[in-house]
Amino acid sequence: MALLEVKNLNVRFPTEDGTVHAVRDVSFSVDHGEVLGIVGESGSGKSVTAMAVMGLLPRSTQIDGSVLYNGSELIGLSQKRQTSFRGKEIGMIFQDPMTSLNPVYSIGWQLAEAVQAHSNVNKKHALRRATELLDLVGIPQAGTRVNSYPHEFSGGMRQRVMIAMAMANNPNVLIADEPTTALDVTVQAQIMETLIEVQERTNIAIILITHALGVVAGTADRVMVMYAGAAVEIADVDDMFYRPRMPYTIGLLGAIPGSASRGHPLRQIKGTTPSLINMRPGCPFSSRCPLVIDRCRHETPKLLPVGHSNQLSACHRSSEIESLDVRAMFAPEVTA
Amino acid sequence: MFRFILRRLLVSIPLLFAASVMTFVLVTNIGTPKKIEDALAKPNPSQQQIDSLRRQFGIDKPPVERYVDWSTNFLTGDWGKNATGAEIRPLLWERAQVTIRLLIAATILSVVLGVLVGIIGAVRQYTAFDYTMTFLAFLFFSIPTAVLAGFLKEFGAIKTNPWLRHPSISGRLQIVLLIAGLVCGFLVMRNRYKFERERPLSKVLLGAAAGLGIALAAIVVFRIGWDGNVYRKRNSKNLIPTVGQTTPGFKGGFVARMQDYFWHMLLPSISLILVGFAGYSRFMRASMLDVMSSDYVRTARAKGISERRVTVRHGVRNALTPLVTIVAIDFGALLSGAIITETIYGWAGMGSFFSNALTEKDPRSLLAFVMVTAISFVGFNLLADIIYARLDPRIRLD
Amino acid sequence: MTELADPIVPDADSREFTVAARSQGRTILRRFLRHRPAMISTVVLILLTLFVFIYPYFWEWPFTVRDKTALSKAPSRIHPFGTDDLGKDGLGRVMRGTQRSLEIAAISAILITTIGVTLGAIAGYMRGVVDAIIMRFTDLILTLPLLVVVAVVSVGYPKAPWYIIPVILGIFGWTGLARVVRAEFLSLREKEYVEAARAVGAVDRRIIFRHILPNLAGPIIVSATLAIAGAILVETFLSFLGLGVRPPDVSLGFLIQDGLSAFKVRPWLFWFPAAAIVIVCLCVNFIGDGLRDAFDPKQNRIKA
Repeated sequence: MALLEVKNLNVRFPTEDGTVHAVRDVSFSVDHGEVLGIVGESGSGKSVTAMAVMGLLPRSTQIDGSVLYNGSELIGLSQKRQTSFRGKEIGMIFQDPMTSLNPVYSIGWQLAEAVQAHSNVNKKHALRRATELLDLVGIPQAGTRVNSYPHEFSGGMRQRVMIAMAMANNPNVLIADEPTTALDVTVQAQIMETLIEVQERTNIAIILITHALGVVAGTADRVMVMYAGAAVEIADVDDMFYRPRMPYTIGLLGAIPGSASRGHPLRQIKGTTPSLINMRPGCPFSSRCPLVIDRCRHETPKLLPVGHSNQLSACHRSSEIESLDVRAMFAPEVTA
Repeated sequence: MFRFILRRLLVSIPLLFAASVMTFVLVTNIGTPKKIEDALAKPNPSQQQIDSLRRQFGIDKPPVERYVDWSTNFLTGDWGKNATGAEIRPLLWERAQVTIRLLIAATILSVVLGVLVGIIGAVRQYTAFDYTMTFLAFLFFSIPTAVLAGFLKEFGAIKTNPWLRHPSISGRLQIVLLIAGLVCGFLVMRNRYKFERERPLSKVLLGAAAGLGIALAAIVVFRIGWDGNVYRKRNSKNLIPTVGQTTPGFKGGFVARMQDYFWHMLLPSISLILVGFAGYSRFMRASMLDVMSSDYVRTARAKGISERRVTVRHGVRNALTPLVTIVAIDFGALLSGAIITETIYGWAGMGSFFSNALTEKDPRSLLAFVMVTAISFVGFNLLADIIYARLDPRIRLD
Repeated sequence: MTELADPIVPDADSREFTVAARSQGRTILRRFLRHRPAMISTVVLILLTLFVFIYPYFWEWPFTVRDKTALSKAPSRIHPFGTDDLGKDGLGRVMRGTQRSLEIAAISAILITTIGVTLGAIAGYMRGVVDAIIMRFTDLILTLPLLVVVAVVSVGYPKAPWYIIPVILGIFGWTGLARVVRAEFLSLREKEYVEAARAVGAVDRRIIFRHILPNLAGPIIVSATLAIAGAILVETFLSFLGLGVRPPDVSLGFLIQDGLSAFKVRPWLFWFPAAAIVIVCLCVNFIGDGLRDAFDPKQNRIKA
């Protein structure tokens, strides 16, 4: 049994313009000590999936499907049961460290609060634990820094604090929602390093949400690619980079400069993502796909095993992809 | 901190000087004081009497000289005499005390009410409670003080005083109360479960029953404890007064005196509270909504602390910061804002001081009034900044 | 906030999936139309305005005429709003009073908006010495309580026509808006698209009117709306001090003050103008709220 198992998750937001179907029938699982990368462009439903797992979506959101943690259902729990779960079993860190810490409380206060939320220790003890945690994530002079306020920390430092906070109760799963997007490139590497270090030391399972494929390549064991609210491909990281079986994944890989694309022109995916309101049946990528056939426009492809190992792809033509040079079918990037 | 205060005080000196000049110009423009007009309107006005009156009002010299005289005297504490010959400074101080007594009571109550309603409105957004309070806030915004005062006098005193003398509730009122209890209990519980997956009918019915029970209990308590009790015998005169801040010539011990204050303060403070409540509840609601959708509240939730703690320690704590400064600034501005309320209820406070001065067209009283309010405005603004810096560690005063 | 731009036409490929993109202006209009209290208020206010400006031509008791057969009468079929002690018709006076109050409110709102936007824009765009002078002046006016200043100035003009009231209100009431406009100007003039406009040689006037002001439509319109309600309330205050419009002319504030003085004998003289003023202010405040929601880009709210 997997540690965390998400089955047929659907998330809908009622808005003035109609219901936004932000996550459509997403299923995946994470094992102990595994790092799962979730990749997709903004608005593809990666963050919403994570928030649904954490139970952090607004109350008016309609959530269907199931999220099993160690076999017990998380969806539809009472608020009280949910809070006893959050932070203790699953920790989460967010995109923007600049706004993710409460400006009016000291770092130590906020860490101690996280500690005390799930264990019955006094303030002094919790503060000592806070210092340990700061040490764990590599903040120098943790003993004095624990009394500082968030505004006295740099962005990278704050993200370390966030990691420390998520680790406060030794959870089994850590969800990192674009942890490096808002940071400088040099700091990004440091934060990823910290994450990997923490992961190696505690053998925690990590769900790493990002739109940067490079980040995933270096850290993840398995990767899930999302497009327009649906999971379109799930594969081991090597399969995903060397044997992608979904045109969207191929398009994404073709659009990044780097060693994998050396010697080839960069490609772009023309068009825009479809609106998530009132979606019609059919493959969501069909409007931009170079392999599109009539069937794609009418029938939503299911996420099915392809080829060998445990690779899943949602494409009607996944079996043909290996024999085609899909990458070359995307329009080359025009540079001025 | 000390340097900040000092610097701000130094900056406000030219501001207050400019304000005094501007006020002086405005006041010079209001025309002849009423007393002189009256004297001139007599069949054969005596020049001597008019000259002495002009001296009394301090308008016997050219404007520039007058300003110099007035400002030096003002700074040394000699604020002159008003139209009736009373010293302005002690009079204004006495009046200010009456006003401040009213303002403190009204401000505390309206802030408490506004904050509570604002928090609930934000946490339970788009519920019946939220809509009702939003409507009430807009209503209180839209009622001129004079209208509100008329309304309160009619329904808060003239209609209720005979009832308070012989309190009783009619059968019809009892039925209305019971139905209101039923509906409120139902709505409260329905909204409680508005976003839950399961909306247990039993809980909603339980809520309705509880509401009904509370209404019933209230009626029973009233009938046993109130109806036909001491009030009928003891309270021969009107309990809720509509005029004045105390009963003239009132004698009695400390407790009796406080009671006298309390009943006199009732209507004017309600009048001020409703307006303050409208503003503070809207502000708090907006501020709270803003904070509750912020990233750090999401972080707090992700830690797994209870929703109550998230709301209070992270939501309310952060949402209150801007409100506190608004309250401080409002308090400074209210010294002049209570003019209508005070005048309508016949309070001898700052408000009636001003409207008397205006009717008398007494330049030095008006100047004194404007300067006092301007100084209090500047002072409370400074206070607001200091409080803000205390509440938000990001702000440094230097 | 983004500029009021033309609709973005999605390219043909993706069109089948997207809801047609709307222009900013139409989005705002649509949001406003969906704001139910604001819509109801708009309709009520328009009907009320038409009524008080048109119906007096058909009503047999103009506000100055005395019906000597009905002195101090409670509401009846002939005088639906009753009469005062001189036999003047309540309805006629309330209609006239509402007219005056609306006119006062409109003029002062126009003045406040014009002065506030102009000074705020100049201060924010020119910066430097000009900015400093304007802002110190704003501070000065803010230091003095508005009601008091307006009252003191009004005392000086006992014989002035009614429109002196909105003029005085306009002269002293612009400070809040000027501060908002200035702050927006200071931040918008640094924006890339303004830089771009300047780089291609747009003159100051064009930058101000085409590139910056359209972005400020929201706060300006909202503040103008709220200024209307504010002016009506201040007029009531002035009437209360006996400084409002002078008889035989009437305004709502005047009628309320008049009604309050004989409240115990002729309560109807108080209730009808009081109701009129509350309805007008309530409508205006709700319209302001609707506009604020409509202009606020964060307000694409989730329905509960």
